[in-house]
Amino acid sequence: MSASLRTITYKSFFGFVFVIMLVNSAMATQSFRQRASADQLLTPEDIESDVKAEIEFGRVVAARILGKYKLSEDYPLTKYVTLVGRALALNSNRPELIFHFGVLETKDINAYTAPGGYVFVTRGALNLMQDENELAGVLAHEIAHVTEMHIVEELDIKGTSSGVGGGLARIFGSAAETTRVAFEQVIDKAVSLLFREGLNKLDEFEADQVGTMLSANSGYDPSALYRYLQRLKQYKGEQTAIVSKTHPSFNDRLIELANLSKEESLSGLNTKIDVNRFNSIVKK
Amino acid sequence: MKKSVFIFVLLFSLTGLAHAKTMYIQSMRAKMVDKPTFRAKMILPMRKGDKVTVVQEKGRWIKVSSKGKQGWISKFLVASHPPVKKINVLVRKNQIVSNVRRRASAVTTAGAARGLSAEQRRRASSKGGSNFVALEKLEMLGVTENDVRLFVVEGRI
Repeated sequence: MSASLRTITYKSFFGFVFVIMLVNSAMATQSFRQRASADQLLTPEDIESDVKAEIEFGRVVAARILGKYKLSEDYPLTKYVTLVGRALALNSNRPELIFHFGVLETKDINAYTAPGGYVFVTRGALNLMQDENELAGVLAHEIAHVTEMHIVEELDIKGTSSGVGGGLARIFGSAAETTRVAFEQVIDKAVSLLFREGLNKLDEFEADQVGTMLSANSGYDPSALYRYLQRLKQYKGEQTAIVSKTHPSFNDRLIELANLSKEESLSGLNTKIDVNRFNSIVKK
Repeated sequence: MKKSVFIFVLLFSLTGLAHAKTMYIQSMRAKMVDKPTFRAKMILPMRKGDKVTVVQEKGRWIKVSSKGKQGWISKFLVASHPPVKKINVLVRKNQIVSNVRRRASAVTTAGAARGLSAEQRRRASSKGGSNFVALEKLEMLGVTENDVRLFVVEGRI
């Protein structure tokens, strides 16, 4: 290589490196800003404080769910559902939460979630399931609503400065009576989301997706939710009235799940889960 | 000489990658695999709290480097902060919580709950028909983390 060519090559190289350094620097700045914006430089104390608030809020919503439906007193069944749910939760990105799982004594086919880790599945839904993988699929969908904080975010997003959600930060700074009324309103709104309005349809699709990935990451069959929804789709009338009203159509959910399965090559990821315990506890 | 400068500058420029996003494993277990798919071969078993540097994102997967190895993990297993210890509000549920923060975050709405005592919250929600007795029974079910681990092993999950 001639001296002049070497000089040009070195110049090009240093020019190239300089550009990389600038890009890296810009990326680092942008990355920092994104983190700062997303987390607002939260300290562990801030995170803990927020999570405590989320749980306190979720407790009240969960109590309202239990005001509408009777909590099952079948201890072995509740324990089994809790074990399946917590086996999934071990593989979620919210290790700070203690998830609670309950069975609701109703023929309605549905499952509910309150923020902070409160998850409920109905007796009607359990009767429709065929194995532990399907139970895991449904619980994973509900856990995803918690990990993605759908209800909490929905309340903020839907609120306006004069409405229920957006103005709360100011309302709560005022006198206790005002606080009580505002708190009551936001709880009513959360309950309405669960039983009447439903969450944003995109949140439901996201919960299907995140839940399916959670099932797969936990060692459960990620196709199980698809199988369950296919069966649920055949049911009409009272038993599915709420789930139909508050969720996207079963067809749309099945299409999205099929796309996910294709993209992630989930089909045939068979598991070797003990099937007997589901039958002996749920189908007894 | 020029060769040394060449290497020095190259290494220096690559240090920019150190600014790449740092994340932490939140799940009990995670596998670093050689491709972004569940069927991929495991490169490194990972545990809760392990620190990873994200070098690439692809759909629901992230390419990370950790402990001298590079591979893919599911993006749903990580967060931008180290895992937070289990938070249990039940031990202090009767306390009147002060120091309500006003920071505008996703949980500002929920954060408002901190301004009310447990009793106030109960009264506030009684209108819609609440059942705190059933809720507390559920919260006291008594399933431990060891029970869950045993369940996972016995069920071959």
